[in-house]
Amino acid sequence: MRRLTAALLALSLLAAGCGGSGASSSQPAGGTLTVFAASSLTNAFTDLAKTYQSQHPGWKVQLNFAGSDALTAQIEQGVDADIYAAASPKYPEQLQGEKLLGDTTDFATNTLVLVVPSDNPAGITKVTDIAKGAKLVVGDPAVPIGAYTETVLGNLGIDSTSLDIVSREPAVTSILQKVKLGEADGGFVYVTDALSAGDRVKQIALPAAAQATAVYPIGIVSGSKQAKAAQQWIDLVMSSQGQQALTGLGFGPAPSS
Amino acid sequence: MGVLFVGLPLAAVFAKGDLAAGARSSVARDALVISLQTSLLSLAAMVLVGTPIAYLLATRAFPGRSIVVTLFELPLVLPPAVAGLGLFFAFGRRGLLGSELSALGLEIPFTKLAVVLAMTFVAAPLYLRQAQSAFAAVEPDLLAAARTLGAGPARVFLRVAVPVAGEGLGVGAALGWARALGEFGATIIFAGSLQGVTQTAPVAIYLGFEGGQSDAAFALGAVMIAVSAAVLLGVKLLGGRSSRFAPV
Repeated sequence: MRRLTAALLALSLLAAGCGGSGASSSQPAGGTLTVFAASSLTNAFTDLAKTYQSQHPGWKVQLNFAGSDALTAQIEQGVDADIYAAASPKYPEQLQGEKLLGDTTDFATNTLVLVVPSDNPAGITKVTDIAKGAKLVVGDPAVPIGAYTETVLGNLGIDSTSLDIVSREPAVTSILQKVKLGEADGGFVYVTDALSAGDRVKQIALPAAAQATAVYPIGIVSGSKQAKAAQQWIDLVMSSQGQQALTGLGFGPAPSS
Repeated sequence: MGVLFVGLPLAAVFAKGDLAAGARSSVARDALVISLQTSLLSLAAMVLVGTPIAYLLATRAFPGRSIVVTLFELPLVLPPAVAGLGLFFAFGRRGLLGSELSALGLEIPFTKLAVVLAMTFVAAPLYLRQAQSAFAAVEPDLLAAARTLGAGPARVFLRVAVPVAGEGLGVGAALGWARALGEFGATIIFAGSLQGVTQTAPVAIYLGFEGGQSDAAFALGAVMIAVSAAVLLGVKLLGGRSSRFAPV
């Protein structure tokens, strides 16, 4: 406990030291870069943080993963963050409206896939089979995955009231878990989540015309005292190395604007 | 300090909650109806099954008694999420009893029954503990006298023990019901969330917060605080009159 306190103290002193010199144009030789990112970026950004730290000795990347909405609330409450990467443009736009976030760049996309348990109890072989009485677990319309699912069903011409939806879940992870456990016959999740589940689930691709695409924007939080280091993080994410890390985990490349 | 620490967040929910807007929201209304239905069913299950068990635990000594008591207390300290997973692994369609239940045409997860089971699993220990103390406080001479006068065990239980322990049982029932009403973790895992079917008030509050629809969330929160306060106050009044009240 005492060691933890000492470590936290040292860390805060370090952070305070960096903050003091941030106003000048010269970048401090090191410090802590705080990155707020949507939960679905956990694996990708954890890898990229290692790359960043090896490219910029003296710098430590502090990662904070949570739902985009929760991160937004924390930034609004004045938490010390340098970077915000969200799973939807909605919250960054809200923060920009409040002058709390600078310009953003779209750096990745994510798409949806239908997952079924590995033994596929309802015998689903194509996405339209979900209308044959399969027990489905989907996202609540209040959360992004639920909204995207509604879009996909609309594109497929499936009336969601005709489906046997047994639960509308608050998070992608809980949809995936319930399908993995075999308690539901199927559910819609992001491609990246389906990949992370390995062969515990079977993926059934959606027709391209029915897809909904989630766009991920990234930007520097207003008042960041280490804007240069923050920009270097964004450069890394946009670099071919960063993009490869993302696409390797199932993300789509940055949309060309 | 302490009063502020507890009082401020509670007061803030009331200050933020637009009760009128919340009452107009169908999500909030449905959630309250489901919460009332399922928590009352759970209360009935706790009282009907729990009362005889508590009586036996309080009045009989048998080998392994303390193991049984500990087992019944475990859900009190377990994270509710563990309870939810345990219910899946036991009663889910892939659970230990899954094939037997399917043979009976029963699929429990994602149903109202699942909500009731989750609530009962988590809340029944509160009732059980309180009922046990209430029965333990009944004069053994009173029960012995009833038996001498020719009453059978069932009659002694129903006509002597339960009425004498009545106030303590009432306190336990109130606490158990309040806990069932507030149950979230086990419910969201085992029963999921579907408006008008399995979505209880705590689940609706969480989803309201996640989706940025905080009006309904705050209004439901205010209702939950009011109901919980009423239950606790009722318990205090009951407990104040009863020397048999054993604080949990």
